[in-house]
Amino acid sequence: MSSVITRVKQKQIAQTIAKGKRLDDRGLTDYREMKIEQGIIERAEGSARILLGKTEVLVGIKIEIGEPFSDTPNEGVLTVNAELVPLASPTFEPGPPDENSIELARIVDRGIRESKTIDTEKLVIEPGKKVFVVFVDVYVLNHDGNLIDASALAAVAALLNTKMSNYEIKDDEVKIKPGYTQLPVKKHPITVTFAKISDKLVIDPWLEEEQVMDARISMAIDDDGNICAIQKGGSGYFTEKEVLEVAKMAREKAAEIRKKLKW
Amino acid sequence: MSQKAEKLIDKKGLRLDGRKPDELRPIKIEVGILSNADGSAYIEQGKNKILAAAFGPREMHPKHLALPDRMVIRCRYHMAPFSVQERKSPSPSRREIELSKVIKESLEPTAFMEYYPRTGVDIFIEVLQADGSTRCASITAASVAMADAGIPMRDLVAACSAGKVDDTIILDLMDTEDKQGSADVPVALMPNQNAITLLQMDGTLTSEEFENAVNLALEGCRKIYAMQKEALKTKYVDVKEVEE
Amino acid sequence: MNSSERKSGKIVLPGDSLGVIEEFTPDPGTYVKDGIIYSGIVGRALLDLSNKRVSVYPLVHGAKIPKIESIVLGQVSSVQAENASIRIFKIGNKQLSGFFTGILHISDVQPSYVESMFDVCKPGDIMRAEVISEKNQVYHLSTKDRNLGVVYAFCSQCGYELEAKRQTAYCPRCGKIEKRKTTLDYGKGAL
Repeated sequence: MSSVITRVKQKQIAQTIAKGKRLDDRGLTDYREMKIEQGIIERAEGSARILLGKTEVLVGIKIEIGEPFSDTPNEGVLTVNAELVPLASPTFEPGPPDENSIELARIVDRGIRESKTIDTEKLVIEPGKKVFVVFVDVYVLNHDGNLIDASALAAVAALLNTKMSNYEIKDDEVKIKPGYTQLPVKKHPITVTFAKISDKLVIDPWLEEEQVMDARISMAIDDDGNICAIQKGGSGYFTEKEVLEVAKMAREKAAEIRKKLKW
Repeated sequence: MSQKAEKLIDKKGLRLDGRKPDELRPIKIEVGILSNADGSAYIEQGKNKILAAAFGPREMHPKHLALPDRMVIRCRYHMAPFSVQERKSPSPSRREIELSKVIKESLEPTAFMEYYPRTGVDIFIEVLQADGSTRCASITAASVAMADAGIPMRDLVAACSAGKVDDTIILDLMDTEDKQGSADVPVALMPNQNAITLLQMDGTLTSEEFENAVNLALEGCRKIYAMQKEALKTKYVDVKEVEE
Repeated sequence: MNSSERKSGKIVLPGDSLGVIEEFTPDPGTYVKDGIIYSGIVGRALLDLSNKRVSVYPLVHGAKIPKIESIVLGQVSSVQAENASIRIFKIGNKQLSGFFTGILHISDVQPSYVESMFDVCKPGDIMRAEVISEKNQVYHLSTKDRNLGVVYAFCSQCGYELEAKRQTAYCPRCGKIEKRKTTLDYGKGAL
């Protein structure tokens, strides 16, 4: 029922932001405290957990051998799935993924895919027949807003931590050999999200801000400062000037956050 | 069930991870780690990593599931796709649905269900990494989460498995022992009431072996119970009193 | 019993035995089985030796459901001529992860006569009320006290938060004037 309370707080949130402040004492362009832990699920080929304030996201990577898509016979396959598990929020219901979790998965997917984070050509075992399939499973463990940035960052941190089994081909059979190779990761896209509240842009909206925001915009920025994916959400709109301002600030913030990743 | 690929117990009588037959894996329990749940707990038991959360009591939806004279516990045991060696599809399997039911039924005897008519409590369990005996670790964590949610209970519920590998009765099976051993007996216990609330078995045991296995599992439950108490007390030692 | 005594009790958990019924009278937070008194919650045990009573004071926000005399906070979900349906999201100090449904009948709104429920509250409003009965498995609410009633109201025309003005509620955005049974702390009450 927290959304009810937020409706009452709406005025207070909006007035505070209009003054350039926020109810949790952050500046408009400050992220919450961020903590990155890699390799916490030994069973998975790669994993990372992100704490963004109270928002907590775990990403596990599994790698299996499968078939490539027929239009890209010389590339491995990337699959991103997101689960809004019910223990993360009273508003998450058990059941098949809803539109929110599918949108989240697709935003994370686009950030990784369009920036060419993974060198998918190196995932080919036998062109057109056998490739490595990289499963990125985003697991939201506690929801306190801005799942997009936390999930996207956790996904990249997990990919950086991913090891693939060595293999050899004998009599048309793929045999797993001892030892591991690091997953070929070329880029480190960072997704930065802004919410628009009372005509101001605030970075990294937490839950209460998300519940009152007019609109939201996320941009994935690669190592060279290029924008490689965008998602606008929410029922409000952005002006051209705001979009350009977001692009500029997202680039700065992405560079700062990227420094926290280890590779 | 028993495909003896490797020796599970070596000449010194030690198991693959160096444990003695009657030894538990290292266990860590944390209380109240999820801010959106009414109660929560995290358990690491060996390589098992499991989160449990309790929500409620709250109005039941759909309403026809509510009972006029008591509350209803609903439970969802779910494994993360990356929790096992081969990626698991996130949609619930038949195994997960059965485990959800037996876990729920192992917790029901402890709760004062009649205090909260027409309400429901939801228990959500997420296995982040699985390494055998996850149902037991889930029950251990879920009962701590229920206590953390302030649900009045007769007792905590502690759970532990015993089984048989290489003709030896062992405690707290890990994945390989579960898969390659010849029997697995998960047990849940309300320690102060001496009430067994979960008992399953697969494999084959003589009646003497069964007795030994159950006794060993119960001993394991009592050790785990001490750790549950320790975790709850550590969490609340600084709390003076809640405002009513 | 003073609070320092309560705080000094040792921490007990569900299932911890506290004594036997020959010795103590069991009070809240405990239960009895086979003559033994056990704790039923996580709390601090208090042995009152002079009165021979034992109780457990909760250390966690206990599971709560509406009880007679509970003060609850909820959002109006629907209004009819004589009844309003309220989704309760807070009981006392305890924020619920779900909700309970309560019913406010026109005769329980205030001591004096009310002509229509539509002059009391509207869907979306946040109300503070007291639970007065659980008859027929329904939580019946009352707002007769001056501290009870609508704490926050929203304009039925534009959805903006209404301001209290004399006996009425006024929308600063669209100018609409509406009727509500407001509390003394209207617009300021803690949620």
